[in-house]
Amino acid sequence: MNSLMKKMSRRLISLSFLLLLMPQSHAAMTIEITQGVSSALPIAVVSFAIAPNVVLDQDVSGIIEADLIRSGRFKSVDENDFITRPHEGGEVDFRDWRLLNVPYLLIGKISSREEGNFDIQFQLFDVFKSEQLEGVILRNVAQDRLRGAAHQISDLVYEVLTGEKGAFSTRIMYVVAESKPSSRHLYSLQVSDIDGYGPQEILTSSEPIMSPSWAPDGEWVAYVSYESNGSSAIFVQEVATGQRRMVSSHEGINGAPAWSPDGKRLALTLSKGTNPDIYILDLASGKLQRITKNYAIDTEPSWSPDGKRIVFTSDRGGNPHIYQYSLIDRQIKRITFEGRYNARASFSPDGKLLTFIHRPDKRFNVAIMDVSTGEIQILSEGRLDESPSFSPNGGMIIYATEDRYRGVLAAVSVDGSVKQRLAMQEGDIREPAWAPFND
Amino acid sequence: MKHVLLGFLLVSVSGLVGCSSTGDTSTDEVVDPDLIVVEEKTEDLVASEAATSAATRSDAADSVKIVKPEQKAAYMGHPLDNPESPLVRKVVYFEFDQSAISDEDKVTLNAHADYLVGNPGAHVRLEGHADERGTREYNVALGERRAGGVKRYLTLKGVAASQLSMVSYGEERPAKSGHEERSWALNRRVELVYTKR
Repeated sequence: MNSLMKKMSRRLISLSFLLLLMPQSHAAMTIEITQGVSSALPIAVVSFAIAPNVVLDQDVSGIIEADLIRSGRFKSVDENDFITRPHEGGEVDFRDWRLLNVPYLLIGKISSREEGNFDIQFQLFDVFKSEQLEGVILRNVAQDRLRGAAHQISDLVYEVLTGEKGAFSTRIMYVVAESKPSSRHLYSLQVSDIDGYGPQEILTSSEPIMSPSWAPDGEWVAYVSYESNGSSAIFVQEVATGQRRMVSSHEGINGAPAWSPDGKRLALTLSKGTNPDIYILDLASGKLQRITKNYAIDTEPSWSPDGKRIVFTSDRGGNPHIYQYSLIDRQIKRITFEGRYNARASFSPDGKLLTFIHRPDKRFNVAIMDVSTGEIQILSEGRLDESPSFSPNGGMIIYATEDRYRGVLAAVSVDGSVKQRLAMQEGDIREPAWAPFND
Repeated sequence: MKHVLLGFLLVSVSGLVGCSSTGDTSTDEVVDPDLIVVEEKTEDLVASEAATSAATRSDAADSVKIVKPEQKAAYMGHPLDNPESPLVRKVVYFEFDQSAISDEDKVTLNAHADYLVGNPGAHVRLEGHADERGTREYNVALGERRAGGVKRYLTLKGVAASQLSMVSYGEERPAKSGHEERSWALNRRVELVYTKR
């Protein structure tokens, strides 16, 4: 795949979706697609019919189409090429779509209910088999749930066509640093939809907030905050209630918390006044188990999905590289060898890939490595890319990059074919963490 | 070291902040003799920036007093603020991914060590920092390694460990908000923040 990606000629398509009439956030989303010999499947999304007298503040079918394209598995068909614009099954003539050589067709319509909510009906067709693959009506959707409903439909379509669960309804968490006139920052930890909409602050502080991490249940998070006397401490917090507690405040570094797959432990970095090593904290008992003991920097631990291994960054060999600790035999082995800088690794949900920051030359880029072969592929091309995080279905990676020296978030499909930049709000946005599936 | 990168304003770190070129010279610091600024002037700039930054951090306790040359003999302020003394400098700088202390910064640290030994009630918080390149937690570790290096240096000069504390902010609190080597050089630093004088 790597050599193919390099050889293929690249075509740049730029689509801009300026979503107006947003009640609260002034979000602008840009999708940049670098597309070559891609395996993306064409899908025709016909703008959903909207009943007369209905005013929507969201473009539901537009959101669905953007979701599907962002995954890298689908490509859109220009609406100007459509011969007909059906909205329900009876209006579909498959010959129109075979002429365009489009294998999949998504249509739908939105009607209003007496109480002001909406019903959204959609149908997905296999054009060449002339059959309906899915047909669903989402009933009684409130105006402020339209985006959520659109992401839900995207998930259904994605699952029917790829056989894998869609991750469009999941959330992301990230840190925002806003510059204040006093030259100090105001830091906040926020949770939003994966396209940056509906951001909610879950913590604000005048001191740095770092390294947010989701618990496997998607309800609790851990993070580093410097709020107590300007020193670092690790907190766990329940997103819905705001209930939280401090779980680590040793002398020196309290950093890089990472939840174990069973949700009972945190891997973390403590320096205890000497130098940083990896520990495991049992959340119920508060008991600490030391994993590394080394004069080098050991930090940024992350668990394998089976809970048997922890990868971490260490400069014990002179430069930062990724090492792996086995909880079975307690052996540590180095697993990256390419380049002079590899750091902040985390596993894909199936455990087959690692994503980390790799420094091919002067840049710091998102890379993935096939764990079995050690082959590295670079997925991003920013100057200072950071904090890659897999989507819960493993299909995409969200990361932090810069846009005119401002921190923004971007997402890339794991095959590298589609990159999307999210430019959501003021401030420097960093350290995205993709939440697990909600259920 | 052999060529200047286009579109990248790179200033020699050794010329700019007087660090000895320890270790990682194969990184981004490209030396072009034409770009080395007159040393004295640059140092003044760095010292005042450092002092300003330290003053901001400790709520203006360390604000810099500008003293004209003819007033030199009559300096009556606090020794830590004396612009003629190395004590006025409260920041030391480092190379990329390095924590070695330069000879120039040793002069600064020697003065602070003497002061701390002579004033056992004084206390300094050593704040370690990194530039924005690389990952955030690794940079926190790097900032602490730098602060730890300064702490070891000061204790070897006789300062009591109880007079020193450490914190690392990694890349979270840059002194300069720029995104090129000139700013990065000023951000790879340890600040000496006097919490008691």
